[in-house]
Amino acid sequence: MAQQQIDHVAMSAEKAALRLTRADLKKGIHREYGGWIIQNNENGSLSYTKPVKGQEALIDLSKIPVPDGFTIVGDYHTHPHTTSTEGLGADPGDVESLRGIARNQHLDIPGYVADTFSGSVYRYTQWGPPMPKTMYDTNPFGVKIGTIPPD
Amino acid sequence: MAGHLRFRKMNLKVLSVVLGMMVLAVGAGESLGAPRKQSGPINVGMIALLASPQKYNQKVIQTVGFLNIGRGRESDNLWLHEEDGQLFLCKNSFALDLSDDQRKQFAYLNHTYVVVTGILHSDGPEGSAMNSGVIVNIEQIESWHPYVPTQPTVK
Repeated sequence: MAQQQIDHVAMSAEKAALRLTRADLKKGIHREYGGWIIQNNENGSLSYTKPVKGQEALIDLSKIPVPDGFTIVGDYHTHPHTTSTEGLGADPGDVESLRGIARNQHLDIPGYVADTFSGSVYRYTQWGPPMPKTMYDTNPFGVKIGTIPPD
Repeated sequence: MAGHLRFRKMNLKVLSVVLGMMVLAVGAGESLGAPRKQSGPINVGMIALLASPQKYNQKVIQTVGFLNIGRGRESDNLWLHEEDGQLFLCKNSFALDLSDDQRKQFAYLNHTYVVVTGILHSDGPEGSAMNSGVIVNIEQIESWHPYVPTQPTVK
């Protein structure tokens, strides 16, 4: 499966998730949204699970069910940022989350993240790039694949 | 025989004293078991909190850990030790739900050990989340001074 195909679906998923995250921010609520990018086992088509609201400061994707007959090929989530100083792309926690999926579910999948301030969408993996050195690393992680401006 | 009888009498005395103490203990137990109002936060160490976070779920707690205010709110955490964050031992941490104002207010304490007071939300130590829960409604973060060296006196 071509990475570009997953990127394309991820952009649609992030657009839906960013809309919800931005709507919450207008009400002063900082919440992440996210879900899975999935593949139909029969025909190979790609889609995504509806964005689900996270908890206070995090989203636990493992609580989002995967429909029967589908396989996880990626995950996506948002960062409710209001300033440029909060940065672009994935943070060490996002990368570590993919490592957790690799450990627990034996899946080496890409993750996608978009922040509400810039609208930039980044793809990252458990391998970076670059690899976070610690959980305190403030560098951005991943590769930019597009931008979603506000509606 | 007489000695044996005296021993039995003494045993009865001991028994009655023990029974009396048990009755008192039960009475005291009832009063101890009565609902108590928790005034102020529960002061609990990070190890106890990480071992059984569900025990403190939805309660106001006060604990000491290593503060990381990241570049975004999603990176804000309280770690058991500084080394846990360096080694990605995420279950040894709680997420912190800080407001934008609090992130600025407490920035000077970043990467130091601090006392945090807030309400713990947790699914337990085996929860599926990456960390062991999140501390919300944070009332206060204060500096923790394990050791403050004094300046040598110059004569």
